[in-house]
Amino acid sequence: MSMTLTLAELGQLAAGLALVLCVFAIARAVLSVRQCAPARLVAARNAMFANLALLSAGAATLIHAFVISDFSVAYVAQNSNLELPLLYRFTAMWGAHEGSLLLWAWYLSLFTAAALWLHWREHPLSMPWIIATLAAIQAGFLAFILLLSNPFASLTPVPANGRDLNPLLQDPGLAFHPPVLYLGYVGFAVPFAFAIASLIRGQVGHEWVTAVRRWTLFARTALTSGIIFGGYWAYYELGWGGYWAWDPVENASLMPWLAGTALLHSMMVQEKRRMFRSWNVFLVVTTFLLTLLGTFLVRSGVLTSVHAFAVDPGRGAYMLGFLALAMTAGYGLIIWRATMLESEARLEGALSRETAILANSVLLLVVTAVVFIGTLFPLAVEVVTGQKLSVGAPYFNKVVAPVMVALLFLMGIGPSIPWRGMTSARFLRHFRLPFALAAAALAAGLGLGIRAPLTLLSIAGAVFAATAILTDMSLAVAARRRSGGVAWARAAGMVLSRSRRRFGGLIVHLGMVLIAVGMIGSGLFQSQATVEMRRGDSVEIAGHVITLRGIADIDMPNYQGRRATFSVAGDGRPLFELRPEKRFYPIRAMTTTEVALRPQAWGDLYAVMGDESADGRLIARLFWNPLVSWIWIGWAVVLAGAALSLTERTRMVGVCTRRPAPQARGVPAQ
Amino acid sequence: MRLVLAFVLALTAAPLWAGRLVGEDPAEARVRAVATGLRCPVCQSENILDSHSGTAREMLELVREQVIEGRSDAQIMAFFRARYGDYVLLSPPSTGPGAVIWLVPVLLVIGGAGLALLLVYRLRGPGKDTPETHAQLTEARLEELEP
Repeated sequence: MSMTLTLAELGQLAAGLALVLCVFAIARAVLSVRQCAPARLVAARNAMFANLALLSAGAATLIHAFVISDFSVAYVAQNSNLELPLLYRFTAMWGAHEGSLLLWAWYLSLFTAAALWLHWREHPLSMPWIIATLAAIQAGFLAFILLLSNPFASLTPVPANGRDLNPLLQDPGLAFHPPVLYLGYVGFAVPFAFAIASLIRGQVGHEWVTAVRRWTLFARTALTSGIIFGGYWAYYELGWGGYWAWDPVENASLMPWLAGTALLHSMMVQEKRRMFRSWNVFLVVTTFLLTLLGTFLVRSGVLTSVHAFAVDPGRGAYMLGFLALAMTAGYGLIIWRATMLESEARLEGALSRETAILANSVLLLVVTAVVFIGTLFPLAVEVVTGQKLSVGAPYFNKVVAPVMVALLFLMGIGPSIPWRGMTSARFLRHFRLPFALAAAALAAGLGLGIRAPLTLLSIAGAVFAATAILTDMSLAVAARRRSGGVAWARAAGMVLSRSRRRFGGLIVHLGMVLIAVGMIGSGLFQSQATVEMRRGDSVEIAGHVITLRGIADIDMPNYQGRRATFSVAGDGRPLFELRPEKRFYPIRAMTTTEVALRPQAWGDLYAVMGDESADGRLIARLFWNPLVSWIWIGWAVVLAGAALSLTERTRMVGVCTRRPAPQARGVPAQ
Repeated sequence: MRLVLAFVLALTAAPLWAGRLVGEDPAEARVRAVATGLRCPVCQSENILDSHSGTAREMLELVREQVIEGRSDAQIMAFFRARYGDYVLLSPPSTGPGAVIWLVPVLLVIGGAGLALLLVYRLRGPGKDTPETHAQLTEARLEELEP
């Protein structure tokens, strides 16, 4: 070996140093508490800042190796190719196991540094334990990366060309889905660390909840976006006409989303009403464990085959051990501190925000548990009895959909009920309009011949929630208009800027209703046809006449293929063309289909090219997917609402109002 | 404001409208419904309708034949279950280990409702003196207080 280090070896060295620094930070942080030496904590903090610098350098060397096609790095040789376009050389960094875990660790170092930077002064007593927790998670991941899943490992002899990135991943969608999803996964590590710190200190009041509200909202929003991007990618890349298949890999990301959503809502009860302490620490630990489980499920290969897992048990065993350790620590601390987790306040009314949020938590956790069992039970049965069992979309749809419909109603009710409670007479009066319109939607559905109870209820639920949310918004604006004596537009602006959290939340709910409408439309009213056509043949689907015009060859540097051209007409007028493709990637010997997609407000036309027969006939699948675009629009609304809510700093409401002001007004608090 | 309200309401009722666009051969709709419940035995978690594999195509053709012959969904499912085992059913059978899968959601809903009721019962009672602050009031209550 030569004396000069290659860049990739430097990257590996950086990751190794980062691991050493994490161990150092844990030791310093714990010692700073035991020896009452705050100076040691500064060293621990700085170690975590250095950790960010080192891992940034490490990640940069790996991306560099992809960009210059350095095939002496095994990971690059396995996932890139000289013909690969530049964009995909960047995204290939997280295109497979090793690189995506490095991305995980880099995110964690980034969030750790950000959390220490932002909260250093506010939470001095919790800080040692926050640092120790985050550094321990980081050490766990770095040790795994260096020992069992090394993206910097070298390859000799150096191949002339790489084995190419998986063609399914050669798509702009991949540029966004995994990194955004991981933002969400890793984001939950910060609330987890704060909760662990307050459990260790025995200070399980509302402070940790207040501190991490925005972290939780950020992580949950990123997770929402990651899941939606994944759905969008599956929709236009995989070519089966849908966006969610209840595949175990998808379920793995849904579980932390469900638990994280429950957490985000339940935390408000602790912040505003000093209740649900144990419930919240339970939820934050569970959410974080589910993000680890998600990484484990997707990255250990256990889902592809239990046997593959058994043949190469190193990675899987490590991840299971890590998960078990985190679980023991998290749940163990909760049990240890159980007596401190009693609520301070009492529940005063059955029809209150508190009970609505409790119901929301319970329903979301029921879905989480169903998805958990449905995903893992077949694996367990296979390991124990050797019997193979499938739990797929029909099961999940049947079990999860009713709960989701209930949540849709709850989403309309929850934000409109005040804390502490309201009388049932007032409740009925407040929800007069939503109930009336939901009933009207039900009647309209029956009139149009829809008979499935769940379909009817889901439509009524969407109408109910939308009405309730909009009523709430307009009441607030009207109140502001009257009290301020200003015009509508100005009153709306004032409400938006003064109650950002509340309005952000309402906007997010509205976005979720739009997503639900998109799912109801596309899930329950899709029409599709598998057709065999010659040139010039026409077929009708959902009011569109689709005619096959021709099939041509395509020849690109890294793939070859065939492209069909369909013309689409509606009401006798030509509208547009659809051009689905079928591609062959020679390096991996893989065939993929490129969907042709035409999104419209009321639905998408979607064409997939199948095989061609020797006598010139083409098999194609054509879909009419109603309202799919609403899911993507709803996501944008969710993002806007979350962004609005994120701009409001959480104030320590109760603390300030209960105590008399210690100082005269105008004197800076020093 | 009312216009906005009316507009968005019309939009949320969109599935009603979307539903009217569907017009499909009922036999083919049944073939699809049955096919989405059958797993392609040679693929990775795909149903036989979405899979491009030869096996899935043949199975789909068998489903179509049996639908045309007038056999019931249950009969067709039983036919494939006898041939390929429980693995082929994407919705697991409610006998054998699959029963757990169906029992768990029921228990969860009962347990969840029980837990919620227990919590409500245990936490119920007059509250300590925690005055409602301005920030805790909903906009709807603000409207009442500041007419």
